Amino acid sequence: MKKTLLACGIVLLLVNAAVPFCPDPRGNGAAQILSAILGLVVISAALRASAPVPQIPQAAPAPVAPPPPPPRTEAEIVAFLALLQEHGRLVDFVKEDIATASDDQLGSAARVVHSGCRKVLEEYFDITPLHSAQEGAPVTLETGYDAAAHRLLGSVPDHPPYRGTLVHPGWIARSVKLPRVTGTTEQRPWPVVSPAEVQVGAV
Amino acid sequence: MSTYFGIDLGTSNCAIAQTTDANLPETLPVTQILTANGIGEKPLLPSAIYLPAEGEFPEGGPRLPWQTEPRHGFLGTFARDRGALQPDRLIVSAKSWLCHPHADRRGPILPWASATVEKKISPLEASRDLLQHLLSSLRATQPALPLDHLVVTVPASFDEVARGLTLEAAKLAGLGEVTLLEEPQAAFYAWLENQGTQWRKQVQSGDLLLVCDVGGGTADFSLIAVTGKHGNLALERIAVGEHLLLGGDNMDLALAHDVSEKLAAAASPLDEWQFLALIQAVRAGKESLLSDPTLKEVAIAIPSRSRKLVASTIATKLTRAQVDAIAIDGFFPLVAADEMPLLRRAGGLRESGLPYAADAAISKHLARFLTRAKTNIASSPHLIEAVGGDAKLNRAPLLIPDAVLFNGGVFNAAPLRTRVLEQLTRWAGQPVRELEGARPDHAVALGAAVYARLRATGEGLRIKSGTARSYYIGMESSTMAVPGRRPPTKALCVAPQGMEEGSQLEIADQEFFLHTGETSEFRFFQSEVRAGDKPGDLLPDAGELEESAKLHIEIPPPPAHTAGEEVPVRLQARVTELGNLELHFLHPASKECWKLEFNVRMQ
Repeated sequence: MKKTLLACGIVLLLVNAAVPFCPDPRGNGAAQILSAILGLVVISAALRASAPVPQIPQAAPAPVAPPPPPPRTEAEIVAFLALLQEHGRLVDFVKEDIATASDDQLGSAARVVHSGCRKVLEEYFDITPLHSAQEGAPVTLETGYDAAAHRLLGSVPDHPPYRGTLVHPGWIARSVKLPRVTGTTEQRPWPVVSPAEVQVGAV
Repeated sequence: MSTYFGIDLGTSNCAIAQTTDANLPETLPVTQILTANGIGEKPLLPSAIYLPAEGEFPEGGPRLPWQTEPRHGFLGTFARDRGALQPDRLIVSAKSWLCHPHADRRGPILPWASATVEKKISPLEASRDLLQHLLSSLRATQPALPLDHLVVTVPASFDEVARGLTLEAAKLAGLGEVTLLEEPQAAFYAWLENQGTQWRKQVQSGDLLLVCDVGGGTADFSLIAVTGKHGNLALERIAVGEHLLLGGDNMDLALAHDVSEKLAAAASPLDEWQFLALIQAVRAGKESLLSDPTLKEVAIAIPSRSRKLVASTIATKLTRAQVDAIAIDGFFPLVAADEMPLLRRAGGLRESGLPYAADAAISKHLARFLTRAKTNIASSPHLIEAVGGDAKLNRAPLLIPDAVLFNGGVFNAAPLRTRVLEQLTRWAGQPVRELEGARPDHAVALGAAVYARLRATGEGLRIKSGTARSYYIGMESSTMAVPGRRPPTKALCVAPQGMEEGSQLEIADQEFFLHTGETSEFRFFQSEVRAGDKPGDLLPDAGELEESAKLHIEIPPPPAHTAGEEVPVRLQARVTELGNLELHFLHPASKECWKLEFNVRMQ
């Protein structure tokens, strides 16, 4: 806008300056005065236009939602517990008061927990015995044995080699592939262990 | 190096496999939603779609990595598990709806008979969604890989209409043009690949091989003949069976009902959630008993859904006697060669859901298949030769195979395989053997990938097939009107059985007169047992054939004709390179050609 007005103003002043060079002298005086006045008016308008014109206030751009925070470690663990509850009812079992339950009842419930939890472990882990020998087999641990993989019981001398029998072969997880957790929020940083169940329909 | 893909679009589970020129085929893990808040990979994608109610997942639930907006429903493992508790909102067996002739396969009918879901989807859309998911999962792990060589499997019992719908679903899913392969053939290709050059040691020229595929929800039979001489063995698929909605799930249900009746008699009836848990427990128990012959019984524990696990779990047993009586003798009874299964009668007042098999005895269905296969082969001199001559054909009232390739989860159990072989041996009067080295679990997807490679490179043994059925259109007879007598519809054979891919033929002697500008409709029939019919053969009564759809066409007036005029046209049948049948009308004068479309709406 400002540039247009300036341009018009300059053109008018040039017209003004060019008038005396016009061949026809009759309207010159009036044309000169008119173009001078118009040019000055337009230029002053242009200069005033440089003052900031109040703009229509635009809405501030919508704030971009921040990416959801990555799930915390607890979320992964609680999700795993939720799997054991979903398929094996582990939390129900462990939280129940079994003081008055008979062995038969406990046994039946244990079958449910066993089959479900076993399925979860087989699907998401590859857990195998750590030591290949049978329980009761003789074992000798030399100097530099894998200390993290063996626990010593009984009468242990100061220095290796340690001779003994295998009491428990141990377990090791050769691979772990759990589902990736989604849906954690600020209000709920880890998933529910087991949602409440509501049977909808004929009451 | 090219990669070749095979997709098993199964009734209960889908799988995708890939192979290259150098490697053996392998299945690819499919990314899917596993729990209400977990996403992960599994080798199988359950063919289940769950449509949640509003409010169940206000943010749309877990999002798959390729999802850009909330989906209408969930697909896969979570859908199957959550939908089990809300069966009204779960879509399963969408594939079996694709070949249901009386259902509107393009209309919103699934979940079937659901009182609660308003926004239903069609069987075509359900299949499209499953294929789209497999494609997205593949693309997420291998984005740049070209998908030129893709094979999708269909049951051998799928007719042209169902095959066409599968191709359409694949196109809608973004898979482009895919090739179709029959599932029993795919299982056979997987076996061939597994055996390598050793396969010739297990079969010889003149052998008849039965592919016996019984999965969770369906049973599919096919016969493959081994022809050729002097080490140049060739394979030809010579008979296919009907779509049988009968499988391992039926066995589990039967056992669960038996146990639950015993419990009800002992005054502890089960509610519907306990019954669901019972089916799972019984399945595990059945597998234990069938895989370990020394066990006499297994303990079954049925939890309720309440928190009090110990207090409310019901304990019972599953005995070997029950499994023998129900799973083995109930589903695989030893029957005579002429014992046919009870069949559902079409028409009459009947709940029009999926046509589940009325008779659970799989051996009777096998007897029916082998009897019909014999009829089919006897009708065609070429097939009689492929089988080894009249003498071999007529040695028994059924057509008995020499060896059996087992496929499907049910045949993981050795006693069931033994029982089928025993049954066949009884019918044959001589031993029938098993083809060793079958892999019942992923064979179909692996075989499809192998076939994709075979088609692209041309290397390897190909099973000669072509259309599995002969197809006919209905012709109203032009006889004089007699009151009270409706003249039978005649059937004109338009495509013979065994018509090969990439071939076409014209029905020369028959001219049709169609009105331009008007829709003309034809009835469409098929048969699995008339291999001898040639194109142009006119059958006096179409009642013997099965009707699966209507064909309709509207012809615009060709040049030099006006709308409403009758023009003479000739019928031409083509089988495309992808293996689907197309029917066209040709106007000889102007050489114009129009395609007949299948109308898959309910009659």
